[in-house]
Amino acid sequence: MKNKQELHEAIAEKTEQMDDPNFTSGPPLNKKDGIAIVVIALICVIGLVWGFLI
Amino acid sequence: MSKQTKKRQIHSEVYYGMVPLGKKDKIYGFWDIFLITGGWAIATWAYVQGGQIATMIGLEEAVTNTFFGMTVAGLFLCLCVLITTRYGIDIWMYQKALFGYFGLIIFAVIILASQLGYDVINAEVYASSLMKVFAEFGITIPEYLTPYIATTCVIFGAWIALRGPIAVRTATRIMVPCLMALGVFIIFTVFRNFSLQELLNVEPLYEAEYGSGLANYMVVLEWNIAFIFAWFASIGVLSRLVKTERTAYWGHVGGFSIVMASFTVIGVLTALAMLLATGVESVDPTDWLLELGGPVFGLMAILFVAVANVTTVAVSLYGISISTKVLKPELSFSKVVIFWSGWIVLLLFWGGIWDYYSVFLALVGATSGSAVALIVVDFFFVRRQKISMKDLYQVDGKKAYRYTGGFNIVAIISFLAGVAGYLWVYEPIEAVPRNDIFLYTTATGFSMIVSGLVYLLLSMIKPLNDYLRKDKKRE
Repeated sequence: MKNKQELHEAIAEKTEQMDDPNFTSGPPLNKKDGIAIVVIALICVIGLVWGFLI
Repeated sequence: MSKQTKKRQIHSEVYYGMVPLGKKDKIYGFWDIFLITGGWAIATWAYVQGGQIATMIGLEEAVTNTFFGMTVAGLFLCLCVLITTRYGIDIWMYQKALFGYFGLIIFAVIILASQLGYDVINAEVYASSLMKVFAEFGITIPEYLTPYIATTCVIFGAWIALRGPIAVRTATRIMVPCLMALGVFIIFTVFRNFSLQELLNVEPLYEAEYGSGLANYMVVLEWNIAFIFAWFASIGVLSRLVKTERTAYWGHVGGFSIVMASFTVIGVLTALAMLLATGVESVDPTDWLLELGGPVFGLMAILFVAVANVTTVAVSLYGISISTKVLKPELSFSKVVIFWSGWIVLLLFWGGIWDYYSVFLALVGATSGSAVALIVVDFFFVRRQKISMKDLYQVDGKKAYRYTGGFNIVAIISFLAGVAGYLWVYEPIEAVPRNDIFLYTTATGFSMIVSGLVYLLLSMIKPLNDYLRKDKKRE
């Protein structure tokens, strides 16, 4: 019972913090990451086509 | 270790599994998560996948299809990691917002049950390993005993899982070096026996299977994509512990895609070498190890495989049981482990997973692909990256994700549309494309486009948007 109570209290505390509009968990993916994802995805698609054609 | 200590450890894991983790709780950097996910990825399922690929396409195509296909699938899949890292939660927790409080439970049971098919593969390879070891000593074990021997892998794995997280972590420390050593050993024996040119010249056994090179290539791509999307069920277990979204994302892409692709290609190499050496096709890595490694090293490698498979099953059972407990904390951990172990044993005796491996992959592709697309659309487009944690956890009676009796009808319709799309372009029993769309999108790709688009379009209808966004007023 003590564990469950502690669990609920911890959840309530954390969710309160995380629902705060000013909450940040840390830096998200940035513009460079976005560009890298797109570029790598394009390379993969080209690579898939090339792999079939060779 | 005392029963109370084990119980405390498991409660602690569930505790940490349920409680959203803040910045101070996070412990993993890039190399931590890259090595852990990479270590998890290199189980013998990668070799079986490689062996399957080698029956269909040649080495060059296999390498490009596997590396590029798995990487692009991983780039998309790992977008889900951003959610779990940001909020410090498991992906199953997030899916309460997507499927509703009860919808999630039904969906989770379906997905988790199907994921355990991979442990059936591991257990069967374990059985094959042991039978070959005995055969080398002149003891022939009849084939019909395979499921019984495979069951011992599940029993040993469950035994480790039941002993708690310390035992599981110790098992991981044995498993990963074993599997890495095995990979190195395999590469060494393949290139000791054959040149690269010889391997490139091998014609796959079923290259005429689908009537065209493109169809073969896309069927293999379908398998590779489904293989990566199977990780969806395990997202969050690790990523919630990573310090930043960037490191979580790229670490997972590296481990779950690139490392996995590397070991799958090792499986391709070895299966082709086996074909070259004997003219016999096999997706069972233990066949290759004896043939290529010789009696002494081959036997050692096979024992490595057996040990590694027990520990992989242990890690998998433990992780899935913890996830099940996170969804329903009141369940007894021991009973959950035994339940899922029993399910694996049932599948073993059915024998269908190995015999219908491509159908199994189809099930994974159809369900996981649609689910991942829905998660990405839901979080990034419908909710604009904002969820209500209090509603997710139903704190203070908040239940914005209750929808209709606990089920998000819009998400369920979209999910089923994705599955229908999958079946429209691909026949999973015979593993045959049904129409030309498959040749450009694969079935998993098409199901993702359908489910994602249907959900996005439905969310744009105002009454449906209000239905989905009851958490909006909390922002």
